[in-house]
Amino acid sequence: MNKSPDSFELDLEREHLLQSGSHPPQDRALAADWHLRNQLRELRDEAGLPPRLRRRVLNARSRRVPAAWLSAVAAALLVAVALPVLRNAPEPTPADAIGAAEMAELGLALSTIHDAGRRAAHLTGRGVSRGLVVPRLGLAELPYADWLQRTFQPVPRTSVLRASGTHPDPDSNPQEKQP
Amino acid sequence: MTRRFKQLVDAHGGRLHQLASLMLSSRDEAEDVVQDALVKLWDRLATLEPGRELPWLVTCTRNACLDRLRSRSRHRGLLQVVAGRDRIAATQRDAEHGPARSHERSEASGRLRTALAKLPEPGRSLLILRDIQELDVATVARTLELSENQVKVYTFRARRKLREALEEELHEQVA
Repeated sequence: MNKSPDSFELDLEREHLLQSGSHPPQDRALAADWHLRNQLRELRDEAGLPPRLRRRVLNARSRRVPAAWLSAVAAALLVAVALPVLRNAPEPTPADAIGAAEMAELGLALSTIHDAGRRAAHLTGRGVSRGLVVPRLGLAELPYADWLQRTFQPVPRTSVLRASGTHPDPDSNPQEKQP
Repeated sequence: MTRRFKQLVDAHGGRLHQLASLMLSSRDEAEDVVQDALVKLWDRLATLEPGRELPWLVTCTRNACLDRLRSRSRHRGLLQVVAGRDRIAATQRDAEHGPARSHERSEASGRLRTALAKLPEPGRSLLILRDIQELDVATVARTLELSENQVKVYTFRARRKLREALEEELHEQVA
């Protein structure tokens, strides 16, 4: 089918000639093409789809309908059964949420332990303070709020060094750090 | 949707069946291909834009025919056997329409069908869709993914090739 562009234009012109005329063209080759085109037209079958095949097609189609209905019913059942269960499920609570009662108990425990315990709590507090979300603790509402704040609030190291000049933690006693 | 589907089956089914029959030279295979295409249409009908059904159906049918012809070409020689079998069927069908013209008509159309089936693509499809089924150029162009001018020129060339093949065959018979 790939010929020169000139040949393309020429063949296009010939085809237009064949399609437009109701009589065979003068050119013998084109006249033969024109007759062949008419012969081909006679092959056209207007009968439509054979009845047996039509029945087969419509039957095959109707067999697919129940499948579609079943899918729709299955989807409806899923919605009816699964959605209420999911809706009634309790809301998951965040793992790090600490209530006011727990904080009060903690405060009481801290106030009653002796000095060694306080030091241990202090060191532990410094260790875990980076992992705690302090604004969520609600320290201001509790007794011993300042103490807890100092224990658990993470202190930016650079600002502490800048403020005190030597000590990384305003609450820490340099003597305590000596062995 | 069922009514629309039935309307489409009645409007285009015959055309598809003839396309497949001429491409495959086998009525049984043609029926299978057309059934598959129409059942696929049912699945796609909800998403298919109205007016786009015919190009979609023709493309679907033609592709299925080409697949079968490709797999058939692995078993060479079968084509001739099937074409011969269908020529006999066509002769029997024509005989039912009148004994006087039937022999002449069936012989000519049988020769034409056989020569058409041997044409390479897209020439064969173009002659079926343009010359036999008289589909408009725009629809054929969209179906075969060609420009309208390509459809016209390739149809002209395919027709000429078919004529040369028929003349050659006639020449051999005379000789």
